[in-house]
Amino acid sequence: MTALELDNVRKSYDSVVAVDDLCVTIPEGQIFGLLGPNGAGKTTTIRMMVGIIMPDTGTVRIFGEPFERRHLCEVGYLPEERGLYRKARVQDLLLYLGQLNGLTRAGALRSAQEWAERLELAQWLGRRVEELSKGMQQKVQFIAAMIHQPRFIIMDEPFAGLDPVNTANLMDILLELKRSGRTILFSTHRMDQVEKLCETICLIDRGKSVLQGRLSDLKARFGRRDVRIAYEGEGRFLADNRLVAARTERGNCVELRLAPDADAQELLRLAAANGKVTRFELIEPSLEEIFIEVVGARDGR
Amino acid sequence: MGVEELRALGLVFRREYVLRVISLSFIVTTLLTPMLLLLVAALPALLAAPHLLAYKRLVVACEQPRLGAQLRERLVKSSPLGRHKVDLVTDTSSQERERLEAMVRDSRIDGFLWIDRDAVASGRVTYETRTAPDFLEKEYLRGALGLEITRERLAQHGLKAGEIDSALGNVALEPRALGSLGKGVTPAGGNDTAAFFITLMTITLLEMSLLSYGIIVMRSVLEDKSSRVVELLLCAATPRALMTGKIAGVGAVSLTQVAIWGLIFALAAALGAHVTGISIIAELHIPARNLVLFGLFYLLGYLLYSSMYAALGAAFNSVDEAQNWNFILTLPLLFSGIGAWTLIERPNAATAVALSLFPPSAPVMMSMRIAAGAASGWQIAIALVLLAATIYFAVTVCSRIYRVGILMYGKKPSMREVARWLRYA
Repeated sequence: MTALELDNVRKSYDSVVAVDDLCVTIPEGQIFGLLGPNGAGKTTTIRMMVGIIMPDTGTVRIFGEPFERRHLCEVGYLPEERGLYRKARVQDLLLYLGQLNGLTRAGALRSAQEWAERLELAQWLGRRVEELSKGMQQKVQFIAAMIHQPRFIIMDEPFAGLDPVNTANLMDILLELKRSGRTILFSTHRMDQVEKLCETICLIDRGKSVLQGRLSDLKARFGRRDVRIAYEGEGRFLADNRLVAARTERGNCVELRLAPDADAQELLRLAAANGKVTRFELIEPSLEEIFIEVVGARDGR
Repeated sequence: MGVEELRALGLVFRREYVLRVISLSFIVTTLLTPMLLLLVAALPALLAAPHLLAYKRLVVACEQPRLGAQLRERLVKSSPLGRHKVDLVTDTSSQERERLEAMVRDSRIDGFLWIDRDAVASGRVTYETRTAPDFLEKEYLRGALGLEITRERLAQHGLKAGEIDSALGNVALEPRALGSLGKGVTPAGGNDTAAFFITLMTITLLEMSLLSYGIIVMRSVLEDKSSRVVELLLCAATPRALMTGKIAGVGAVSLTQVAIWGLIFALAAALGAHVTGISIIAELHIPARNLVLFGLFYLLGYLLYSSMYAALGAAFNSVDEAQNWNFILTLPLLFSGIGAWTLIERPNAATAVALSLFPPSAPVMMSMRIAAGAASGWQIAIALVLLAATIYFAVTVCSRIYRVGILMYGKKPSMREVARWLRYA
């Protein structure tokens, strides 16, 4: 089942097309990465997913049904532009947001306290937001998005401004939420985080989807057939240009680009026959490299 | 509006209301404003209090016993706050005059009225006192003397007491307008002038409250926007619920304040009535119909201004950015404030009528014309219809600006951009 589906969704502001016939399918129970350079249309896309703005054409389906506002009580949203009422007490604010998201007052209180315990924020519930550090305020924002236990969670740049410890904590929580069956849409331009968390991604550029699919499939597709090898012994086999197109010495190992039609396994056999192989690794392209390649190619066009 | 949207509206309403009603600034302004007003009104009296409240001993020297007795009685009856003690002597010899002069010099009495044989005919009476009498004192004495000497003259012409009373009876003026503008208007009874001025002051106060609560709505929207909490809210509630809840919540705060002011006024009036025996409320005699109309115009005025202020808050990023527009919005109310004072003389002048029908100035100007008893039923009806239509239009346009503007961070939008937003929403 899909958690969310955008079908030929388009949004334009006068002559500027912010989102251009975009199709995205987010499978349930996964962490999905929505990537794109600044101004690609990520935030507009997300705002259409949560009904803050309406698409000009196309449809948004959520949990298999056409989007209606009633679905939003099962959606948690952490916007990129986020903040809190500075003068409000943390607990009052969470109760207010929890109730706006459909909880009863008692339910909101229970959930706020549970999350505050989990994020080590319990002793701050009675304080005013302005008394909290920036990191703690971000935890409150996270609780605000999660207080109504949503099935589908949308996070726009959730790690922006977090220190490494809190980033790691939040990643753990997101993985735990995924294990409990939640779907998470995670929008960012930080590729390293996407690689750590996401199974499926969609890369958008200038409002269009330019790459979409399982991360492992995409990496395989964009693999440049590079090999990293460390060995002890005679290295004449490296000069065989039927197998090796280029090579770079890197201290105690060598990085090779395989020749077209060459088989990495044959190279491994040859290396083993000529000495002792201590390391043999097929190098995958990083998501950042794929990103630069795809977006760069569009820019160069 | 669906159930969920109404629920969200209720939550926004409650937050806005509770947050503001328990705030220190609300408590201070609610209690301090009437106290300041009372203080300003009462300050001259308080400063003059020791002088005004002191008892005064007067002597009436009049050799005609009937005139002397009646004058003494009149002086006692009309004495402000009943603080004059008046004695009568019928001896008008020069020795008696010297004795009274000595008493004034020794401060045993404050003054004496010397009414000699010719006084009734000549209309000249001397008042001997240590220091020159003040304005109020002179008015008091002149009033009593004028009335009693006139009565005496009429008596000398052979009129009986009853005839004199009916000859000197009060004349009531009942204006009835027959021109097209004022047709059908029935003026208020009671103490018209006092009622009109007090109503005028009250309406001015409400006008200030209209403006300040409009600005509170703007600040509240700006807070949502500048604190970046708004996107979180918009995922949970529609822009319509957010804007309406805010306007209704702040409006309820303003009504609470007005109600508390009304209560304070009523309590002060009741206390005043208990102490002085004069009931201000009974004296004012403001018709209930007028009170209802004032309330209605106030509410409609609030709706009009608060929706415009909400749009202003959504369109801009800070109070400073909204400053120019804020000024433009205050202009109709400012003109009403100034126009109101010219209205006292000519409530049916063309400008006054036009301003009272023009929706942005109608809430204040029409209320004032109603207070002056100058607004006819059809004028009130037209003003209400125009105002309601303008509110509908303003709320539609402003909620569109709100929907789009609330998510536009960063640079200050131009007029053209704001106009374009109307098409996005």
